[in-house]
Amino acid sequence: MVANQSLTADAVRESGVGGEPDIRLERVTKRFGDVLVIDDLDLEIERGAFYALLGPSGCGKTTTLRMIGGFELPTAGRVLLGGTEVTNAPPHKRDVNTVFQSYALFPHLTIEKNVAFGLERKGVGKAETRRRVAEALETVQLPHLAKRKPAQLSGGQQQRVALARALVNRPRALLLDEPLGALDLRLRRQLQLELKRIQQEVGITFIHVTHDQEEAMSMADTIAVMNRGRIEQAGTATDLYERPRTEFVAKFLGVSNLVRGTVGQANGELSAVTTHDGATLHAPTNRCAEHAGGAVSVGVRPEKVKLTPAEQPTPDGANVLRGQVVLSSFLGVSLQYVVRTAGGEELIVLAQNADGSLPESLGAGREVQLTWDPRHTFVVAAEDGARA
Amino acid sequence: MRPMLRVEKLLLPALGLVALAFVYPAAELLGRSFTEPPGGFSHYQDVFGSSSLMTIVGRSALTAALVMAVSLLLGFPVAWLAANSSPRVAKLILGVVAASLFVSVIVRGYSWLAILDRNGVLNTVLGAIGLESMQRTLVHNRAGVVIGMSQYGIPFMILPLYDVMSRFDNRLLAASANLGARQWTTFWRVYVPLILPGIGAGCTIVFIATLGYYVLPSILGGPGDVMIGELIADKIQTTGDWGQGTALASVLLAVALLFFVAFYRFSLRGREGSS
Repeated sequence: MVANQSLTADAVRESGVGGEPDIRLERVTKRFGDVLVIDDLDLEIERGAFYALLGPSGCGKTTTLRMIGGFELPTAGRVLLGGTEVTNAPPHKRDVNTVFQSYALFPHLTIEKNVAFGLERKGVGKAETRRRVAEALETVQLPHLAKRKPAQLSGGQQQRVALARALVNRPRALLLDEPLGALDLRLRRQLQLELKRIQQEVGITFIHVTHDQEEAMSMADTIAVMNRGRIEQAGTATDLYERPRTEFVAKFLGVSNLVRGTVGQANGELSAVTTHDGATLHAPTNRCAEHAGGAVSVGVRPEKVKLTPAEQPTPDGANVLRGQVVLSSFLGVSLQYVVRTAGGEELIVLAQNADGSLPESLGAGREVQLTWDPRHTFVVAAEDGARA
Repeated sequence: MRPMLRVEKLLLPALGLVALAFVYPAAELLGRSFTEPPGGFSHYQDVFGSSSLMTIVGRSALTAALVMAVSLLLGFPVAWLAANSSPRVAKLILGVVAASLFVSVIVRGYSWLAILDRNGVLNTVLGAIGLESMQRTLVHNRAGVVIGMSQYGIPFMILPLYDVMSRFDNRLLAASANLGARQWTTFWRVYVPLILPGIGAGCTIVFIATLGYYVLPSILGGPGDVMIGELIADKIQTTGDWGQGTALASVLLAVALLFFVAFYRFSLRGREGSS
């Protein structure tokens, strides 16, 4: 632990003042031939942040990371590290290190030598190198494997060596390209926690590319959801989940119940939204204003919805939709219902498993009502049918 | 020892054939170097005692080393190009490389003679374009032997090199660059160590093949470039001196084996730990 603390202290000392954007992409565009991969992207990352680039494959998240690392050069736009332009600088001239999905450990070198590789290139002295390598291996909890070759290590261990090999250089930022992608689920969850712990310990900026929303949410301070070469929305996990601003984000991050409608009159803090089949729902005005009069999707998360039999009274001011239960299933920790509304949408409701059984009154075929607090309602611009 | 599996027993006839075709002649050769005429180590004493014979052994080893170096230098870029091209281009390059193996070495030897001789193609062309000062006779001397043998050796260098290079994980180059290594450092610290088994295999084949080669040196070499292979043939075919011929052949075999073991161990260092 002593070693870990000194690594932290060094990192903080070298990092100077935090707060201002440390990594910046300005109007970056990248084309591969005719294919537009990154479309006029702006990105700012603060020093010391754990920043996740999240999106489906082909959304441009890895290309973005590779442009920060210098493995791809932008077709247009600028890349800045700590205020210095590095747009066209080669990888070895940039103060960032990448942890590759394949780990890319040098098979002919011992773990120790792998970790020392970057320091030797910088001409760090022998004693200093030895001390920092030991420290880095301590941080990833592998000091006992220093003399082994990579092929003798498990996937999880190799992943940690790759991390140590990058961390030891105390880069401005660590770029992680699906670092846990090759590991099985249990090991992934374990290493997620460990990565988070290490990041907090060393205080280095982590930029993490992943397609796994749970991974992004559990680790990152800020998540940028990418789609078609653009950032759809960036914010904390809570922001993105509770207040998605586009239909893509609403669907990509967690499960969303979306109903088509039109924004109507504002009435103080709440605005009315009329659904395509004529029902009236309410949503916070500040989420509706920009969509006034336009076609929208109004949404709510499954766990925010309460499901009750059709004949029961509903609380005042709640959003209410009527429907029929299509499917009810017992998931252990929760109960899941699929309800077809009067308007034809199939919505999902998650209820806590408080009674230990599926209630008879909410079984398949029953007439029910879905109620939820208008404050939990979000409104996004409706996308065309192709991707709805 | 564990009992033999059925499959292993099925291999016995083939192993017997190999023993008959390779082990028996070598043993016979070794035997004759002591018994024809009987004299114990006397033939070896003659070989090691004769400075002219030892010069030829040394010259053969030196020539083989030179050919090995030239083949590595010229074969390396070709192998790299093939390994980093699309499969179609790679096939084309390797096809051209392999095609040269189909031409008989005797034909190749005389072709070099036609090209490189005093009045050969090269000098004629040089003369025609006014570069008389650059005219050289590149056959009937050491240069001729090295040129001819290198052409023979390069394919044997390229094929094992291509094999390791095409399996090289190019992501390691990005990792190395990312850790601050310049291209030159990456080449020596990452690329070369990992393709060392291929370099070792190529060098071993070319060195050993050149060491005892007979045809090309006798066509392209001069009177001062007699190689050990020619000498052995001369001893046995012309003078019928089986004792000294086989002793020389055994020395040649020993040098080849020594080199083989040395290179094998050397290239193993690079392979260790990779999988």
